[in-house]
Amino acid sequence: MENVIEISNLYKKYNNFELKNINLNVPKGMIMGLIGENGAGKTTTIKAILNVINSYSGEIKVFGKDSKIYEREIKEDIGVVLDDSFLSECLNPCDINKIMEKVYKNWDEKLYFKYIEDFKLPKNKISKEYSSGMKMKLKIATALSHSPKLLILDEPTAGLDPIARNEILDIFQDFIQDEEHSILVSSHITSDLEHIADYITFINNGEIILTKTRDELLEKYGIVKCTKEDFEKIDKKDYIKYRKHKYEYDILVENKEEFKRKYDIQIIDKPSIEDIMVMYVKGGK
Amino acid sequence: MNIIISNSSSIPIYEQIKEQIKNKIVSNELKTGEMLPSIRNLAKDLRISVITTKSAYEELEKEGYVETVPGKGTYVANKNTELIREEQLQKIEGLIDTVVSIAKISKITKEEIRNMLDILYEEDK
Amino acid sequence: MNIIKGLMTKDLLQLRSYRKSLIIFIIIYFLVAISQSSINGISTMLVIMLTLGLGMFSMATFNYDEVSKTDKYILTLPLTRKEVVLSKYIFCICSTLIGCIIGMVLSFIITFIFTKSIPNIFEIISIGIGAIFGISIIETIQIPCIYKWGAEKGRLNMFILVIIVSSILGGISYINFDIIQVSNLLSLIEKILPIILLIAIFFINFISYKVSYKIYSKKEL
Repeated sequence: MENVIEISNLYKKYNNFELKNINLNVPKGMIMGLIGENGAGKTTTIKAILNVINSYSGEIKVFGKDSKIYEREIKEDIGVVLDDSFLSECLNPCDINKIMEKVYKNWDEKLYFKYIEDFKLPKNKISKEYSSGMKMKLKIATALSHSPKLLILDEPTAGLDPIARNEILDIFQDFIQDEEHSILVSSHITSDLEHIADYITFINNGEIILTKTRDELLEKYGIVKCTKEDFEKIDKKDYIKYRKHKYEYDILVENKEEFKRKYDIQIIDKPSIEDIMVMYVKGGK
Repeated sequence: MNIIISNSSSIPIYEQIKEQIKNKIVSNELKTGEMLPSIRNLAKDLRISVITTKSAYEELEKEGYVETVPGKGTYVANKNTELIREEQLQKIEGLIDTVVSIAKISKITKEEIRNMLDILYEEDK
Repeated sequence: MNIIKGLMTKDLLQLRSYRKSLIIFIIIYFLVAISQSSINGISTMLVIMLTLGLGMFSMATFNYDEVSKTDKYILTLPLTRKEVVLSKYIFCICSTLIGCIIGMVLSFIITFIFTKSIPNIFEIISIGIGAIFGISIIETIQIPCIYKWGAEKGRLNMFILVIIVSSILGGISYINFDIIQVSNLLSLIEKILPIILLIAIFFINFISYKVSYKIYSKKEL
C-alpha cells in the first residue's frame, strides 16, 4: 500500500524529553489515529512532520518526497489544525479568507464560505466570540479550503462537548470519501478514534508501542480475567502484559480466540483502546 | 437497506456486516446485479473504519456473494442457488447434529423432536 | 511575494481593532503639535511624533502573534521562515513610512496655512528621515530581541540592552567629548546628512533582519 507519510528513525532530544526512533507510516486513503498520554510525543512528532521543529535526526517523507527539501510544495497539499495555535482571535472568517487566498495557491473562496455556512459560523463575528466547538470548526474549514490531500490534526476534539466531537468526526469521514485523501489525527481521547480510525498508533514516553488496524486491536485483542492459580499456568509468551488486582488478574492477549483454544479460561473481555493503552502503560510482564 | 451493528457484541463488526448482507442476498432483499454502497460510503454511514467495511466486502466476495468491478463498485453476484442451498443445508445439518446428540444424552425420543419441529413450523405460519 | 502580502494582510487586519485609538492618537499628537509656539515647532513635532507613533504601533502585531501563538500555525503554511521574518520588517518599515508621510503632509499643510508661503520641503523631508532613523534604531534592536525572547520578555530585555549600550556610549563620550567639534562636524555635513541617514537606515535594518532571521531559523516553536 502507498504511504502518504513515511517517518523513519525520527529522533529528537529535549532537556527533559526524548523522542526515540519513531518509525511511522500513514497509508493513503486511511485515517491514522495517533494516541497517547499528554506529553507522550504526539505533538512533537506532528511538529517534526511539518518542520515546525527542524533540528531532528531521521528522515520524513510526505507524498513520497523529502519533507525538508520539498517543504513548500508538500505544504500546499496539507491542511493543518493545531490544538493551541491559529490566527489571532481578533479576526473573523472574512478576514481569514483575505489572508489565506494569498497564502495558498489553490485557495478556494467559494468552498471556504460553503464550509463556513455549513458549519453555521457567523461570517462577520470575530472568533473570540465563538464557542470552542465553533473555533475548532473554523480551524477545520480553513484547513480544508485549499483542497488538501492530507489532513494533519493535533487534538482536534480536546475540550469539546460530545455533540461537537461527533460533528467533527463526521467531517473527517466526509473528507476521507475521496480515496486519495488521508488523515493523521492525534488525540488522547481514545473513544473518538475507536470508531473511525482505520489504523491506530500508540505512542508512550517518546516511543511507538504499536501500530495496528483498528479491527486487529478491538476484535482480536482480549483481556483475560482469571485467578492467581490460573495465571501461574499461563506461558509468558502467550500474553503481552498483565495487571494484578486484589481479587483477580487482568491479562492482555493478542489473539483471544487462540488463547481460548489453548487455555481453559472462559472470561475474556473485548477491550477498548483505552483498556489496551492502560495495560501497556501500567501492566507488567 | 437496514444494517444494524452492535459495538458491544462479541461478534466482530466486519462479520456482523457480512452476515447481514449475506442474509439479505439469500432472502432476495438484495437482488442480483444490485449495487452495494461503496466501502467508504458505508463506513461513513455506519460510523466505522474503512478497513472494517473493506474486510466485510472481501469476505463476501470470497464466498461468491458479491462481485467488485474495479473503479465502478461492488454488485450482488449472479447467485449460484445450488451452492447457497447446499450451504444452508450444511448449516442445518450441523444444528440438527447438536439437537440429536443432546436428545440422545437426555433420552428424548425422535417423536418428541419431530413434534417440536411440527409445532415450530406451525407457529411460523 | 504573494505570501508576504498574505502575512502583511494578517498583521494589518490584526491591528484593525486599534483603528480608533490610532485616530485618537493622531488627533492628540496634532493638538500637542499645535500647542507649540512656533510654526516650525509644530511641523517638526508632527513629523517626528507620527513617524515614531506608527512605527511603535506596528510592533503591536508581535503581541497579537504571541497571544494566539500564531507563529506555530504560520509555519505549517506553504512558506519559509525567511518570508515570515521579511514580512515583519517590511510591515514595520511600511507603517513607519506611512506615519512619516502623513506627518509631512500635515506639517506642509499647516505651515502653508499659517505662513501663506510654500514651506521648505527639503527641511521637512530631512526631519522625516531623521525621525525614521530614530525609530529604526529602536525597531532594529527590538525585533531581534522579540524573536529571541518573545514579545513580553523581549521588550524588557531590549530596555536592559539599550541601557547597557547607551551607558557604554555615554561613558566613552564622557571621556573625550568635544561638543563644539561635533556640532562643527554636523554643520559641515548638513546637506548630505539625510543621505547618510538613509544609508544608515537601510544598513541597520539589513543587519537587524539578518540577525532576526538567524535567530528565527533556529527557533523551536
